[in-house]
Amino acid sequence: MTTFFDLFAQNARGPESWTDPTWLDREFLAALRRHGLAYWRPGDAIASSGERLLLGIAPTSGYDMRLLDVIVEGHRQNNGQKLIVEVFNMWECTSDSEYDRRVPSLGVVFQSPVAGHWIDGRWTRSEQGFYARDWIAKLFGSSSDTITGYVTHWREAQMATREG
Amino acid sequence: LQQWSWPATTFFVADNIRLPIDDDSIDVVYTNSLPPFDTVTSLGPTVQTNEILRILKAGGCWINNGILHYVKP
Repeated sequence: MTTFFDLFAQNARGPESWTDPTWLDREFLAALRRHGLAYWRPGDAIASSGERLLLGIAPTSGYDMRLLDVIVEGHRQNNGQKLIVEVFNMWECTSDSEYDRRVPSLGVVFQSPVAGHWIDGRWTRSEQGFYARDWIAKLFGSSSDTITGYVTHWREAQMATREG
Repeated sequence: LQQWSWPATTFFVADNIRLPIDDDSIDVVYTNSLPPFDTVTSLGPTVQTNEILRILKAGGCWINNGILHYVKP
């Protein structure tokens, strides 16, 4: 099955995505459905019991898309299995108030991803950027460093292919 | 940025709308994992394609995520 990082790579390579600005957003939604991850929009219900994670992802970020693969792989290996994971596309948020409607107490959002955590319907924690990525990755048996290394290795391989 | 140093390299923060770089002066532009080009996020305008094309020399290239995205004629 196509991974989220495959989708990032396909978008980076183009050219179909370069001429169709909606291509990545459509494919991102389809990939979430294929991998059994729920898309969350303001107004949707928040689980009143259990542990919930809401993750704002930048589909144009290799780091964010690799994080989603880590979550899918972690679920498969039973890491973080009890978590309810919901996702939204950060590029739907064009103001800080749009983020507030999804994840409280982020402040000004400078970096992706963003993440919020709820227990039994009560919000407990929010993070953005490195801190969000490392926190979530560790819940699923990985780390921000591992994800960064994966993306850097891939990018260097692309450049080596081009230069070779 | 003050913590960064690299021999013969200048780091600076600039507005995406108007890069403080001369026309036709850059050999290679690298971008990685950026928001969609030519759009607006909560922080303002994203990387502007026309600005990158403006600063590239003829024959200069734009590499996005390690992949050749554009070569200026």
